[in-house]
Order: sequence, then structure tokens, then C-alpha cells
Amino acid sequence: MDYLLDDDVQLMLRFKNGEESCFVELVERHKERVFRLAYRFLGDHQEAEDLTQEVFLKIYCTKKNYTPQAKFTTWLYTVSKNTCLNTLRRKKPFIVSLNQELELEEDKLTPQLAAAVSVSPDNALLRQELLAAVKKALDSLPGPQRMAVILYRYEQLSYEEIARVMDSSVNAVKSLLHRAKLQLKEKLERYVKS
Amino acid sequence: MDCREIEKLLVRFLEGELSSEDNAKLENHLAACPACRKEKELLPQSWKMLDNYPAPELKPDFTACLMQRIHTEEQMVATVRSGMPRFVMRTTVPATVMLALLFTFLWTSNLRLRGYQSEQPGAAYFSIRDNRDDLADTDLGTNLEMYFLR
Repeated sequence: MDYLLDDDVQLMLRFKNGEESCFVELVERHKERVFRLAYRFLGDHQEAEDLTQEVFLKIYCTKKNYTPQAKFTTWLYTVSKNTCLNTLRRKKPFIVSLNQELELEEDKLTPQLAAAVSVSPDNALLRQELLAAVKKALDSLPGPQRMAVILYRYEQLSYEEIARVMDSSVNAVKSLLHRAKLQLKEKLERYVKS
Repeated sequence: MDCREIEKLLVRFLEGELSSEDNAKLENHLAACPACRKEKELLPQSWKMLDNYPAPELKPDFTACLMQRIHTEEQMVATVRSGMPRFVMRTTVPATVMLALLFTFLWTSNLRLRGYQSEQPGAAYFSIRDNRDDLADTDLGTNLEMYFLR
């Protein structure tokens, strides 16, 4: 029941009792978090912004039925995860073969990219290419794997928290992350080889 | 252990999740296999590459836009709700009553014309099915069929 002491849970309860300013405060506190998650999951600024709005709309609409059962952020991530996965399902299927080559001139670019990471971080073009490679590798992961990677790698959630958000077991989360790591290695190895 | 098995265990090895027995087997293999040693190095390096994916910032008026959208949608819902009773009274209720009367009329007249007054629902069902052509797969036919099946 520690979550009842959570500031955000208290704000949500006050919002449930009619204080709309508490909702605005919650949005201000967490909008960037939801947007980052959506952006890395969908890879598109406008889509991520729309999804962020959708998530907070859902939060707003469920205020009457809100009963705290976890930390506010756990609930927020759960709503965001569900919205992201539903959006992905609605989108046209985009199939990327595991063996598909990244569309970059790898022979020419690989040493430069490796250098860009370690020596010349100011080289905007190379950083852009590297970003494209990472983005593409992440996009090639199936939805749940991608979500697990984003929650673990970028949002710094623990295995237990991810399991709660994904309504899954810790072992299942670890398994998702293991498979994702192997797949990302396949996709990105040519860029890390120096 | 062959290289394929090693690859599957590498992530758990790097996270210190293997049993001491598997750990020892894997370390022995790595000592003898340069390809797997390379794989072991690539895993954390590719994971580190994910640092190169910064997220942009939201536009500053996001909250204002969101609140405006919420208030607009609330107003729309309120308008629809306040208009609902009159709409329901004027259209939906009469339409439902008319449909119910029409259905009852068609159902009773259909039974009288064909003389299906049997006390056995099964018999009526088979008779209806024998005359499916007459019903021509209409909704009425389907409804009758479902009724007798009950």
C-alpha cells in the first residue's frame, strides 16, 4: 500500500474529487515521459504527440472509476503501453526481415560511424546515420519486445516494474529482453565493429 | 556446448544469471572460440548504441492544447446527452415499436399460411428448412430459424 503515499496518486485522487488543476499538474509532470516512450515506440513526432494526448484523455475519462492499485507512473505506463500496442496494430503491417540489410552503404560508413561514436560526436551527418540505424533496428523488433527495451533501456524501469506494466512475469520480461538484445546485436553489429 | 547454444546463453552470462556449472562450461568454450568471444563483446556494444536515440521535446503548448481538446469534447458530450431524450422519444422508440409489430405480423401470418401449428418445435424447424427457397435467406428466414431452434 506504499503507493497511496505517492504524490501523483494523491493528485489523481484530488482530481477525482473535482480539482481539475491536479490533472493539469499531472500532465505537466509526466507529459515528456509519455511522449518519449511513444516517440521511441512509433518513431514519428506527430504520431507520438497524438498518442500522448490520447493517453492523457484516457486518464481524464477514467477519473470517476479511479482506484489506486499501484504507483501512478506504473498505471500511466500501462495505459501508454496499451495505447502504443493498439496503435501499432491499427497501422499497416510493416514487415522487416531479420536478414534484411540496413539501407546504408555499410562498407564506406561503418568505420566512420564507429569513429563518430568515440571520437567525433559533433559530426551531425554521421550521428544522423547512426540514429537512423538504431531507429531501424528498434523498429524491426516485435511490439512487446520493443516496449520492453524502451521501458528498460530508456525509462530505467526494473524487471518487476516492467512485468507489472506489461501484465506479465519477470521471467517473461527477461526472456523478451534477451531475445531483443540478440536481435539488436544482429542488426547493429556492423556499426560497432571497428 | 556448440556456438549456437553459447549464443543463446550469452545474454544471461553477461547478466550473471547462469548457474555456476553453465558459467564454467561457457567460459571454457569462450577461451577456445574467438568467434564466440567476438559475439560476447558485440552484445554490450550494440546495447550501448541505443544511447544514440534521443527523443525530441514536446511543443510547449501541449498542455494547453490538451485541455482545450478535453473541454471541447466534454461540451460535445454534454450537448449530445442533453439532446438524447427528445431524439429517442421522436425517432428510436416509434421505430422500434413499428419493427416489433411488423415482425410479429410477418411471423404469425407466415405460420398460418403454411399451417405449421405443430406442437413439436423440431418438426417446425425442419419444415422451415425444407422451404428455405421461399425464405430466400432473408433476415426474417434466419430469425425464424433461430426461433425454432431455441
